[in-house]
Amino acid sequence: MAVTRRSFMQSLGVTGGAGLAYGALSTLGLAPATAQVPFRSPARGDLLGTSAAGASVAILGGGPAGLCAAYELRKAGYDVTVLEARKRPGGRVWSVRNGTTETDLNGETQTCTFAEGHYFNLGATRIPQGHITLDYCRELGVEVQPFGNQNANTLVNYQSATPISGQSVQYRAAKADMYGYLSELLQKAASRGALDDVLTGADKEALASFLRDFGDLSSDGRYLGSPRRGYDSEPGAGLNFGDQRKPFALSDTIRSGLGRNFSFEFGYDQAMMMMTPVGGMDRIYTAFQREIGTERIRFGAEVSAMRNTQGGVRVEYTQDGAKQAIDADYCICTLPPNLVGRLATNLPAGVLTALKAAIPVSSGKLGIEYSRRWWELEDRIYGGATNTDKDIAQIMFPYDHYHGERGVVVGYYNTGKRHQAFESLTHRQRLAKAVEEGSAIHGEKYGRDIASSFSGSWRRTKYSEGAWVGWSGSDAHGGVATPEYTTLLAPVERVYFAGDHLSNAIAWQHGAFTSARDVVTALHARVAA
Amino acid sequence: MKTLIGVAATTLVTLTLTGCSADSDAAQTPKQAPSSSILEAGQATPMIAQGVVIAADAAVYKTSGIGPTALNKTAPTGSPESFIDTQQFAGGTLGPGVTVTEAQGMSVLARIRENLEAQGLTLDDVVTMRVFLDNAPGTDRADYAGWNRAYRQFFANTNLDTGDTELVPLGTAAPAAPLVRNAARPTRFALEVASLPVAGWLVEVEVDAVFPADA
Repeated sequence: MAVTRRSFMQSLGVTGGAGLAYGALSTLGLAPATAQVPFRSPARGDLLGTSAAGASVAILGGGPAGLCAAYELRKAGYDVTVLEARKRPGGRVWSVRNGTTETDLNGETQTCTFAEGHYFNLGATRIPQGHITLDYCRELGVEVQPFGNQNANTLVNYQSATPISGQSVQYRAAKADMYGYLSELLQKAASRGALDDVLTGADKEALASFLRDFGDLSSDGRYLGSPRRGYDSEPGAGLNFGDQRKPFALSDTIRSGLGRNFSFEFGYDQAMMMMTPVGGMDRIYTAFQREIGTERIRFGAEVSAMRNTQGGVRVEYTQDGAKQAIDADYCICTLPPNLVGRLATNLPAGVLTALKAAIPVSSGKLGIEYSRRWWELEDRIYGGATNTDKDIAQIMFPYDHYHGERGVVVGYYNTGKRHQAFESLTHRQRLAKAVEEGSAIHGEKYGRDIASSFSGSWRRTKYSEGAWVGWSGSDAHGGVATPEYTTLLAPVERVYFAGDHLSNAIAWQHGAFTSARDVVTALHARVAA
Repeated sequence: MKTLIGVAATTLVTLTLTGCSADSDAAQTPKQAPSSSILEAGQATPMIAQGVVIAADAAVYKTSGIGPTALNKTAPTGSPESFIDTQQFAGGTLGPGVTVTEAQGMSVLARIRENLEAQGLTLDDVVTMRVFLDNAPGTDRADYAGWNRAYRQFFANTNLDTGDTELVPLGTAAPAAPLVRNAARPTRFALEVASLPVAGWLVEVEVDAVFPADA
C-alpha cells in the first residue's frame, strides 16, 4: 500500500489519543489493517445539532471492553451507565494483593495476605508491543515496565524415554544442544548432497556459514557442546576459564522433546519485549474508572434481564438486594457469551444459538508468596518462566521487587485438562500439588519459605465462568469467521455485543479494546447519522 | 442450609459446602432449609443420600429425562460412541479403561449442568436423581461401575471430614481431580432398562433440584 504524506497526515488528523497512535501505526503498515471503517474517537461536538445528542448507553460489564466503550463514548458526551456485578473494575483483569477476598463457585473463600506492595495478576499479565493496550496505558498515564516473557536461566523439565527424562535443564542449555544438533544435521544433509535439488553451491556455502554460527559448530560442521550451555562454575579472572557443561547426546536431545516450547517466544503476541503496568494490570482499569467517573459505574449490579423495547433497551439488575431497571437508547453487552444466555432476553433464537458456540476455557493461576527470593539467590533467575509437561505447565517468576526480601511466584498457569487437574480442588490441595510438582523441578527449596498463597480458577469464578472462550469450529484465539461469530458482530436492534471473544485476539485486552472500538464506531455512526 | 466446615490447615480459608448437610439434625433446626440430605452416619464420602427432606415452601425444579448429545462425528450415527462428548474426550478417544457408559454418563451430566445453569441452579442444588441404563452392545448387564465413575466426576466428591475434594478415577487411570467439585449427595436410583428412546443411548437421567434460599 503506497502511503502518501497527504494520506498519512489526514489519518493523523481524524484520530486522537489512543486512536492517533494506533492509527499511525496502521498507516505505516506496522499494525494489521482492517477492512472496516477505521476507529475515530467520537468527539465532543459530533452530536451537536443531531436529535440524538446525549444519547444514553447502558453498558453491561466493567471489564476491558465495557470500560473502553464507556470511556470513548464519554469523549462525545454520551450518557453512559456501566453495570458491573463485581465490586471492582477490570473483569478478568484481576490483580490479587493484600486484602483481596473472593468466594469461588466451589464455595471456598480465600483472603490474600501478601506483604504490602506484592501482587500477582490472576488474569491478563503481559502486553505485546503491537497491542493498543499500550496506547491506552500512555493515554491514561499508566506507567509500564518490562515483563520477562523469556529467560535463558529458567528451566525446562519433561518426561521422556531418555536419560534426560525428569531432569531440570536450563533453557540456554536445551537451546544450545537443540540448535547445535539441528544445525549439524542440516549441514550434514546439505554437504552430502541431499538438498542439491533445492540448493546451489553458493546457497550451500551461505547456509553452512549460517549454521556454523547458529549452532556453534566446529570447523568440520559438528556440534561438540558450546559455552552457550552455561557453566558449572562461572568463568572469572586470570586462569579461571570456567567449567563448561557437557552436551546431551544427539538422539537423547531430540527424543526428550527439550525444544517443545522454544517456539512460544516466536509467537507474534509473545515475543520480547513484553510490557506490563507497574503495580498490577488492574491499574489500567482504575484509570479508566477515574476518567469515566465512578458515579457512572454501578458496582455490585448483577444484570438479570436485557430486552429491546420500543425505541430503546431495558436492563434489569439487582444491586444491594434491590431489583432495579435502567432504560437507555442503546446497550453494549460485554458479558461473557457463556453467561448471556442466562439473562431474560428477547434475543432471537439464532443469536442465542450463536452464543452457545462460545465454549469457555479452563484456566487459572496460583500465586505463592515466598519470604526468600531463592530463584535469584540460588538459581540466578530474574523473571521469565520455567516450562514443564507436569500439570502446573509453568512457573512464572516475578518481574518486580528484584533483590527484595520476598516475592510472589506464579506456581502454575495452565489451561484445559492440565488446569482441570486443579480446578475442582480446594486451595490447600492446589498448593500441595503445585509445590510437589515445583519441587521436582527446582528442588526442595520450592517447598520452603512459603509465607502465603492465593489461587483462582476462571471456570469457577463468579461472573466469568471461563478464562476466555473458544469458538466451535475455530481455534482458541480466533481468526475464523464462523457463522456464530459473524452473527454476534451485528447488533440486535439496539443491543451490541463487544468483548475479546468477538476479536482476533481472544484472551487479550487488545481484543476487547478493538471490539469495543468497532462497536463505538458503529453506534456513533448510527446516532450521528 | 450452608454448612460451614473449617479447613484445618489455615485460618484464612473456609469452605462452604452446599447441597447437603453433614449431620442429619439439620432438618430439625428451627429455620428450615429448602432441602437437606439425610446421610449415613460415620461416612466421610457417602455416594448418595438415604433420603432428602424438602421444605413445604421450597421451589422444586424437575428436568426432563436427558440423554447424551451426539457430539462425536468420528463414530457412526446412532452408535453408542457417537455420544462421547468431544469436549471431555478430544477426538472421541477414551482413555485407558474408560467405558462408553462412563463417557455417556459424563456427557449426560454435563447436559444436566447446562440445563440447571440456564435456570440459575447448579449441580449443588440436585436433591434426587433417576438413572436409566441400557447395557452396552455385546454385554448382558448395565455398566453400573462405569456410570458410578461418571457420577463421581460431578457429584459426591467432597470429604465431609476434611473438606478436601476427593480424587476420583477416570477409567483405570490414577484418581485425579474430578471435573466438578460438588458436595451434593442426592437420593438416587439406577436401573437397567430394555431400551432407551434414542438409538445409541446407554444413559438417560432426570434430576430434581431445589432452589437455594437466596435465589
